[in-house]
Amino acid sequence: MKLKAFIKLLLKGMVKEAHIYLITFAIFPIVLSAMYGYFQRNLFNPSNEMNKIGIYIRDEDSSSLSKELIDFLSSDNMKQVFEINKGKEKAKFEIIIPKGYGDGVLSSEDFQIKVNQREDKAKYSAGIVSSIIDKYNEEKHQQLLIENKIKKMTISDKEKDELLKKTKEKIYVANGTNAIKNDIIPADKALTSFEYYSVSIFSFMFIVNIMVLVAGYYKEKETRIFNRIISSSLSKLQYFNYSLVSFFIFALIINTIYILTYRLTGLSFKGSPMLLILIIIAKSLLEVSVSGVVMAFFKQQKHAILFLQLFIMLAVTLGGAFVPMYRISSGIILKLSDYVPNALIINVFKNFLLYNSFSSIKGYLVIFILISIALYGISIIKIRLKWEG
Amino acid sequence: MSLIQVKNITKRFDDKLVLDNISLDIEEGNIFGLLGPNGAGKSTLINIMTGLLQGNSGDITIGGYSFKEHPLKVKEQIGLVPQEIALIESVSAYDNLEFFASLYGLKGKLLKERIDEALEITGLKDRRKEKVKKFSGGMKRRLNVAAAIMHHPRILIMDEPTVGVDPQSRNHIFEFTKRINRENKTTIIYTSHYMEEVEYLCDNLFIMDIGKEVAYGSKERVKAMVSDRSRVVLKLDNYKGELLLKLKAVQGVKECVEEEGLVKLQVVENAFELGKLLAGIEDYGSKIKGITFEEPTLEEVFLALTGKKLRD
Repeated sequence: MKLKAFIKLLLKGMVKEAHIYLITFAIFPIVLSAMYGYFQRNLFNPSNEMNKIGIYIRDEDSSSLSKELIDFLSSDNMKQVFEINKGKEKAKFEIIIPKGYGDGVLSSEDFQIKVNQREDKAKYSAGIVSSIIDKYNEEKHQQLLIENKIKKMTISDKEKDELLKKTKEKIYVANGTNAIKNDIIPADKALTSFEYYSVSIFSFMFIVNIMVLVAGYYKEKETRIFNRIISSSLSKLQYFNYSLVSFFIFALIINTIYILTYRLTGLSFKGSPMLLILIIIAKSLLEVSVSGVVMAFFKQQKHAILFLQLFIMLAVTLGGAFVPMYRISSGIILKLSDYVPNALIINVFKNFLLYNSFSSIKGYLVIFILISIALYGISIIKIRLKWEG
Repeated sequence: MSLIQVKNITKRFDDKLVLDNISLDIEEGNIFGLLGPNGAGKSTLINIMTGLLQGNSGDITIGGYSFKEHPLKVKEQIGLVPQEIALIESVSAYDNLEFFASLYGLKGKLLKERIDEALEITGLKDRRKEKVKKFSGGMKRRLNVAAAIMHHPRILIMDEPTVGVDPQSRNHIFEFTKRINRENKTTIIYTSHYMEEVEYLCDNLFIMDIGKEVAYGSKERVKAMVSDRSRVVLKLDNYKGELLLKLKAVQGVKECVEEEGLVKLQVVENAFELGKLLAGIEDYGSKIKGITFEEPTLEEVFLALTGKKLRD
């Protein structure tokens, strides 16, 4: 009932000040990001251009079938996808055709072509390479089966040759670049400039939202609404939890307004609505849990602001604003830069926009949720120990 | 047993002692004045009574419940009218009242009735749907009071409720305070910088300064603590400044000043002899056109006890 009162008040406040929220959290950031997107549109790769994947092939089998595989990967059609490197130093991937590969394809026994990823950030390309090889092997196996059956047929040799030729042609088409592009490589799609800036501004709004939430709490303290609420039959822990629930609903609404408005314009955030909802929930949770830590640990607003400013500086620096991250040699810093909130938000949305699949975002969602739970746990311990007096 | 028992409350902020072993009892149905200059520790004591702060030692028992053991049971008996206007300005008066009443578990029909009652008592019924930000200072003050009374608390803590209020709203708050105390037997703890308010409203007083008890008891008892001092006010004809010097030299006269055409003397009753004063005036050749004797005001009591004015 008391929680309901918190939520009801929040919603009434939001409805009565709807114009302010719309301008601040939808119109202004969308106009800003759309302007960036528009003026930078020529700098972004058109989505149908593919970056070639550098591969190095090591043939340990040296069978006719392993050579056929190498020929396939080096074929003109595949040149649009792969660039065969002579040495493995320059290649993104090392493909090892193991001994026994040829026999394995013939007998459909389990054999393993190793695809060694040589760059950390090429995991989606790794998926493409593996998928292409798997598809090829599958088709090759089918082809060999069909050939064997044709050979056993009681028809003339001429008819057998024609049938074999037709079958090979069909398989060739199935393995052609376009088929692979359409079936296997949606992953190589690039973001449009509008998508890129819609995500960038949205990641920046992460900190804006936290500031707004935290400011609401300090305003309650300043105006002594906090005192009045605490003097009612409500514990401090209840107040904290109810505030966080209200904050979560606020963040959820604000984030949804932004995403939905953008989606309606057709410029960005197209894709599965369910996945979008999951990301918005995770992002809102993270915003609220960071706000909770600030509320729990900083009694005075000036200290909270100082902390948040340091937080922004750190996040922006690790996000590569001042020094490009590829120039950083420290593994720890590079690892940390993967986990700063901006990077997490940008990456989860990029993956959503590029791959539109749960598997491409679930890792990030788990990180969001784990960080949120950890931060909430820390806040609760602090509140239970000593908070506000 | 008293409704409120404050037992040996001590509070420190780091090394600073802000409440030094404060103890007091408040009976049910009292209007109790809590007095002290800025920094005396009144707000800290109220914050401890409402659960915002925890004392370093001591306990408060309200209605038989210890604050340490049953904080929520204690708090549900209290309504707080904070010194500041603690309202949500972006929503209506009704929304504010609905929110604060819900925190005390009121719901449904009873919730609506109590909101209407509070709006009626504070004279804001016609403005219920208006956003609080459009209210005048006085109206906000009244709504600030309304938000504290909907759960019919046994104890209403009013922390300087008339600061910055126009005379009309001030009178409204006085009337309301008297009425709720009379009709509902609500015990009221009233803090104020305005001695005349406390003098008018309160039955019992607790005067404190720099975290310590200075005086405590009924209004009469506190005044009696400085009963040896009273005031003689003279209306004289035909006198000059030198007469004031002469009167100041009369036995038992502590102070002699001229204010608004009147000569005001602060006298120590045990030592003062009226005959000698009158003789002195007669010798000077002045005529007495009027004479009154006054009890000390609370302001004077406060000054005598603490050596400073309440608004210092």
